[in-house]
Amino acid sequence: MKEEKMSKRIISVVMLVLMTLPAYVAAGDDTVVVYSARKEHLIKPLFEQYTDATGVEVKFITGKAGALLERIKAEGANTPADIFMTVDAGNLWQAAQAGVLQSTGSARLEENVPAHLRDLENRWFGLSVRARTLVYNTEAGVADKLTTYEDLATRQWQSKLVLRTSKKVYNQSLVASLIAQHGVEKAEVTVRGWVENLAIDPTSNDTKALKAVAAGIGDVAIVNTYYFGRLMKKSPDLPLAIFWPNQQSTGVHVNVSGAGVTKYAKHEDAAVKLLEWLSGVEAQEQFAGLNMEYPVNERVDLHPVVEKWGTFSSNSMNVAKYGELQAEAIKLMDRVGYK
Amino acid sequence: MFNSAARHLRLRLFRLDLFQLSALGLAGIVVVPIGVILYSVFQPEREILQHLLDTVLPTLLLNTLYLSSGVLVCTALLGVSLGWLTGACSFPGRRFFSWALTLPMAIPAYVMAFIFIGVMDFTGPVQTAMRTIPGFERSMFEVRSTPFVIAVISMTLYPYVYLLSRSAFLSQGRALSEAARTLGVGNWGVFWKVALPVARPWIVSGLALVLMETLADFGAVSIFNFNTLTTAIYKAWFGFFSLQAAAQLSSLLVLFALALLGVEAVYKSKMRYYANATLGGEHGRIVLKGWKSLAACAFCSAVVGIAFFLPVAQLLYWVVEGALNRELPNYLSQTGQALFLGIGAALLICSCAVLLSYIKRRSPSPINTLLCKISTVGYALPGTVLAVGIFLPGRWHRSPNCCCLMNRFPISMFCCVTD
Repeated sequence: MKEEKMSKRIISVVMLVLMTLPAYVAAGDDTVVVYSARKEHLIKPLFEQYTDATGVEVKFITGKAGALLERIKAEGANTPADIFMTVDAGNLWQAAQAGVLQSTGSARLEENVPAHLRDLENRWFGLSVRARTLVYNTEAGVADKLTTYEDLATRQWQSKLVLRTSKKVYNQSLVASLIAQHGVEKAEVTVRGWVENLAIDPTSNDTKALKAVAAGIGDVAIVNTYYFGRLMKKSPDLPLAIFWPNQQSTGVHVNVSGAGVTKYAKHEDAAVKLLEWLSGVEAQEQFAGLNMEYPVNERVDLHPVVEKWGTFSSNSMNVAKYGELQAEAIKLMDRVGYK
Repeated sequence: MFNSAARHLRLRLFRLDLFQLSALGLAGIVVVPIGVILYSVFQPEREILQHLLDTVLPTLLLNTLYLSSGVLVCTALLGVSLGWLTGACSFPGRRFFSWALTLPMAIPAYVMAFIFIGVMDFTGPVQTAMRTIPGFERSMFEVRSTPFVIAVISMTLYPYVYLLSRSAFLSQGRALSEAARTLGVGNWGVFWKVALPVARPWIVSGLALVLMETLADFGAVSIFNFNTLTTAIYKAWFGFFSLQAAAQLSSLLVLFALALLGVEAVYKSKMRYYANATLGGEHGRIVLKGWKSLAACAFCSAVVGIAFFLPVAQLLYWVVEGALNRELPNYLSQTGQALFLGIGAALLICSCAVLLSYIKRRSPSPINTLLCKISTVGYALPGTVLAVGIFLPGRWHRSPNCCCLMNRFPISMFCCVTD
């Protein structure tokens, strides 16, 4: 008898604990649910602004792109996600390929987002542009020797180049763009040259690469501009400057962060409206500015710091190509021993 | 005979009450991801696996081997020597060190790696200061190298070996060692010939835990950009977007973890033959005097200092620096969330543990014992592997029920249960 009482108590404790687990994000009528691989501090202020302006609540969870995508796939038709938002065209392409996004016929989105920064079938749209460019040490006297990404593979840069790990999708996309431009063989020669020219083992992030160049460990690094912006904001005296490569040829490698409406969105119209708003003039300034990126919407003014970096011509290849060639790019980097 | 077996079975089934059901459920939760991962071997992603095998996999396996053997040696040396000093010797500060030496366990390996790289990198204070010394202007040393990864991971993992070996030395009592002494064996002889062999089951269990943690680590090694098998799993999933290939690579780790669990179980069962703790205590301790007591004290201080107080001081410095320069981002809400998750997980884990122990205590039938064993297998599995095992089934069965279950059951909590 006593034992039974005891067992009932234990069961009730267990049940209580199980029930108090955080409830899943539930969605009402005036709601949009976003699964985002873009960091919380970059999207939350915008979503709050949107809610203030329209009364539509934006619920979101953040996570890694691959895991969120897998989650949407697993949830299938029951997914609460209306929008999948992520960084890098490679990830967006994968999502479209996996069939979790739907085509969005929105004239405003098509007007706001240039064709090469969105999916051919309008399943996803770039919302901010990130330029992956060269940053060099101003005390190394190399400013007039810099020309192209491809040139960094030549002997004159031996022990001078600093790169981030090949595990980062930004580098995978960069190599994918080389493959698209020159074919696998030529791209492989270039990337092999890079690896042979490395001053140190690849770093775990762009900021570490920049710091190594600032310390004179190497002369030049390939990084996204906003990492440069963030670092210079913190320590403005570092001897670093931006160089825009490939200006006579293909242009600077650009990538996007972006989003698409999910196939089984429960609030499709609201989701499209949110994306339209995010690509509009009002939001774009912040969406890009918060992270010192470039807006996709060409009518928007640049963040003052970003404007100082000067203008450049960028690669007009459709960014979807990076996704298509991502696996090929990883294999190439594995072959040449790019860690 | 067949008949009696059938009756026996029916009896068993009949007795399958709520408790057994819950044990069955918990064991099921643990077994499903493992089963899913092992099953994936039957549908190999030939192309990706072949590519990895041709290019990076041999290096990754070698790296994993170097890392695990290095960490094993370091944690064994640190853990056993510290365990011996605080468990069997007497020197000034021993009481303080006996608990302070467990503190590094509180720092996750990846946090330690982050601090270490921050301080020791080319641009960190140490190397920057070094370059101001005349003659060293262009000099630098590479912190992203095997010895440093081993050192950092060992610093956070040695407490496993330390705790277990210390309790072994404490529980040995003095009967054995005094018997040895009457036979003319000195202090060193007692350590090597008596204490160490008797403590072996504890030490091996500690090392098995260390090895599981090392193999499971993804955070620390990725901060060092030191590629191990977990890197390949990560690459297969997030690079090639092939959960299937990730699962196949994970199965290697799963098999290894299960083998380690086996080793641990064998040694654990030996522990009961050795423990005779009654005659322990202060009287049995070897009293260190003079330079020996100083050396012991210095060694313990160095370990606690390097593995705990220095890193924590550096972390605090960064926090204060951040707070002074600009307002700290909303750490408060993040801390709140972390606390909420932590407490929730702790409650959940405790309830499950209490439930399982109660079941085992109430009716210790072979089935129940087995179910309890299975439910605790999860701690040997890397988080990366578990994540793969949890995501895969959702993909195979797109039935609504399964999906509801998948997303209603918070995955982070789930990982905690099995950890």
